[in-house]
Amino acid sequence: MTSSLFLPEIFMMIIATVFFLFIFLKEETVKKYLYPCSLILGAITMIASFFSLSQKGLIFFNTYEINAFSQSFKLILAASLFLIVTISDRTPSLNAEVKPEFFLFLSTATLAMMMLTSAAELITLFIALELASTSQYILVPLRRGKLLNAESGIKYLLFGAAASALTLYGLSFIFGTAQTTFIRDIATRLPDLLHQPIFGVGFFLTSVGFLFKLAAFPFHFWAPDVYEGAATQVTAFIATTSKAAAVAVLIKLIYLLSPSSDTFTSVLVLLSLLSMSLGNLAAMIQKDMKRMLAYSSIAQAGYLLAGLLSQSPEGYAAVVFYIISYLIMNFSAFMVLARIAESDDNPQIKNFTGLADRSPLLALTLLISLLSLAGIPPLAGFTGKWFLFSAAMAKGHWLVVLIGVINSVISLYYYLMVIKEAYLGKVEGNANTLVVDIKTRLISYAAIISLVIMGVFPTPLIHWIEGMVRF
Amino acid sequence: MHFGILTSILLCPVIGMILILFTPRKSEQAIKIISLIVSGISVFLSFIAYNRFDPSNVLLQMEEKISWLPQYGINYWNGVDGLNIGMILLTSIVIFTGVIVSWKLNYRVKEFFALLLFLVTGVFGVFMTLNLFFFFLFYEVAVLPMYLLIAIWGSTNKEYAALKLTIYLLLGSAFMFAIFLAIYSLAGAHTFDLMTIKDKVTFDPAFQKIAYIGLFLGCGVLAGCWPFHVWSPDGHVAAPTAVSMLHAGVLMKLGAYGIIRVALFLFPQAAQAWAPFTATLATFNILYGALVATQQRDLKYVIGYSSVSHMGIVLLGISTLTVTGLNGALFQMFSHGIMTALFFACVGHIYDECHTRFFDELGGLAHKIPILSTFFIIAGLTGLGLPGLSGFPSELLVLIAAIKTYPISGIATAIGVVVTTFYVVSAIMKAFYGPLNKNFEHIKDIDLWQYFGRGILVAFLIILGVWPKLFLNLVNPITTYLLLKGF
Repeated sequence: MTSSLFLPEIFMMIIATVFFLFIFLKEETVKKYLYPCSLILGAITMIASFFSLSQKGLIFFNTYEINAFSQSFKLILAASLFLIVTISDRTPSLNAEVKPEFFLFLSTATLAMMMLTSAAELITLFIALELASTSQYILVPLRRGKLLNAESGIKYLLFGAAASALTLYGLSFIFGTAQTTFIRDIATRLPDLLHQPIFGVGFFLTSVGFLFKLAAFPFHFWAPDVYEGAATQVTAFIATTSKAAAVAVLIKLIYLLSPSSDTFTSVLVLLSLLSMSLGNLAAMIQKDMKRMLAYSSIAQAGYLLAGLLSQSPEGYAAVVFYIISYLIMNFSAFMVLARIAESDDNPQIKNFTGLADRSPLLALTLLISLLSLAGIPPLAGFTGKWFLFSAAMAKGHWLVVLIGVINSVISLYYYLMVIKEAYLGKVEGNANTLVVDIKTRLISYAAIISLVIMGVFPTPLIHWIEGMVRF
Repeated sequence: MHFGILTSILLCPVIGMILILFTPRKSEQAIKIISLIVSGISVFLSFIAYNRFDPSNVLLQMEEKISWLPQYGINYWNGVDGLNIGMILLTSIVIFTGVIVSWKLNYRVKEFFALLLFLVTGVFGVFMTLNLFFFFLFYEVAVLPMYLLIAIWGSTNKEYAALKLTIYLLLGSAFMFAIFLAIYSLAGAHTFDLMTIKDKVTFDPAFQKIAYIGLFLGCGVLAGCWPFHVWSPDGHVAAPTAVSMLHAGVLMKLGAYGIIRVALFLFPQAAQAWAPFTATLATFNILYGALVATQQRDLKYVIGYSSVSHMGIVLLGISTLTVTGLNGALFQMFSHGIMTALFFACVGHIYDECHTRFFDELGGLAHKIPILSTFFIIAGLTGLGLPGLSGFPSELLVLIAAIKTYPISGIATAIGVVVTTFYVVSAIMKAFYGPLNKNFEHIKDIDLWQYFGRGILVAFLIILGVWPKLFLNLVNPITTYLLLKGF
């Protein structure tokens, strides 16, 4: 019975093992079978996660909790891994010989993130966090060639390790005050613990590790360099899957343990305001598309924090809704980016010139995903922001809402710069049309349709989410 | 929750857009015909709705309510009363003629008509919805396609104008967004339904004051309220003909409509308190727009600034908070919508033929293209308020109301009208009379099809001019009722 509760994770482990074995195969074999194999395995994990959606239970001596929340997030994580895999057929910036390793660490990272969503005990939580981080530390410098990548890898490692250390430090405070590492037990002792400032400090330090993953201010320094330095597929993974896992843990921690004190809320308010303002202002002057998306993701982290700081069921539901739409819109932006990048160069904004002539479908996908990121109706990003800000407003954080909506307008400026290049720019000489294969076509259509549907008719999705955030 | 006529009107452009997206890029004629048919159907349906509408009933009619996201207080709720039935009619007429005027377009036809219909969906939506969530959603849908429409198909400094317009309008709507959320959370009724909030909740006076002026200025950006009008002349000049028609004709009315429907409805006391201030802003609109228009050489800039001036009359009418003033404002919204659409439709043809819009380079066009010139002159005469055309009753009503409540603004408006006469007449004299420029010997007048398109607009100007009661009967009962009740 226990093993069936662990189904998605088991599949993830099997995948990781398969990819591990690929390392020992001949290069031709790898070339031939790796990508189809990864697609199939990714799809299977997604299906397995789907069928384990309704499971419930505690395993591994109560350290591992299976509930609607964790299983739903596992499905989200598996789906986003599958999406990343679909755009990993052409990876110009990864050497062919490291391709199996790339898939291997993608799957271990996802495995760890799945464990994060289920961890019911602080040490399990930390181990999962470390596994996820370490896998990503390796993924970043996998990119071949440039010195920049080594630099970004080291930056990521150093900042990440520091953040993990702070998390561990915070966990020690929590353990010191609560005398237990089981999150549910801590939650029952919460009324006593809330009097002790040291618990609040511990809680905040613990969340640092996850705020780091979310790239919220002031833990955002790594984002631009890592986004720029890593291969596009790795960046897409860090920008989507990793964010979803961080959000899951933050919701869980804040829901169960939040010292719902004014101090903690005002810290979140401050971080949220600074994240969105800094991210959007810095994004305006970027020339490199990936750096721009990095700063935009810092801003998006600010919006997510606006939902978290309301500390209400509506707020959590809004955050989950937003992260799902964020996954889709960010992923489709990265997909277009991966198609544009023909060599291993980072696509600059000027590389998007005349995209509408070269491939109308990709241009439309880019348009929809960027407008959705900017929060323009009738797209998912708008509806998500509406929920986030209305949750924040319900708790009287009008300043966050006001600054947030002004930031949305600012963000529209730099998204429009890219859209302008794509739709108005004229390609010099004869424009070579981009060949868009059937798979990319399908994903594009799916992304566009789902963003529109989530925008105008979010009712079923929000129902599902409301069910899952009731722990 | 029956599926009524309003939703059908709203769905016309949506269906048209979807059909266009599935039409091959090359079959341009088919795309145009689809657009024509769907906009034709929307005109037809709007007239049915108008016919079914009972003006003496001051309650909402033809309501459609579907529960959308009940736990967030979001309902798909449409309804019409005297305030918006005319606007829906106006929108359908302008888009129909706009499609006819764009008949010769040949650059990226598919995207153009798809975006145009998308935009119109937003406009219809704003005019008919009674839920703040959908109001905002449709509002942005109406604004954003403008960026691409102007930046791709426009002329004269188009990228700059498009970006300026988008940023200005979205900044205005950002304030709306924040205030809507504040209304939701302060009302405590867990609903975004405008009518429910209006009936059940009275807001704290301090909040009312902030929210009213926030909404007035937020919507006012779109209505071209001074000093936030600066996007409007640039935007109108840069936009392609059909987009200018829609934008000046209908979109600016969205702003004024938003002020009436949301700001006045929810915060009537604050409206009273702010009225002197908003009336002053509106006076600046009228005078500033008119004075700047006298200094322009480009016909589109003249019309652009005249729009600013005419929208000032609408805003002044609203600020008087009297039955006469509101009737005048609503009438002016309709009449100005038709009139500017006609203006831009005529200038579009002149630009296509002569490749210039500077009226000192034109001249004598009346001999060469008599029909179009007549149309332009009719639009011009409406603009300066000639009796017998629809501009006269609408401006007169506002003038009467303003002189009573704010004499200074009233006098300023009268001066504005005189200035308008000056610039309209001098533009007409220079562009259409005098010696013909030798370069324009070859230009052709509009054909029968285009004649039909513009003829519809002219017909409305004349009919409403000689029979203003037709429109006033629509709005008078509801404005009387609202002001008697204090909203």
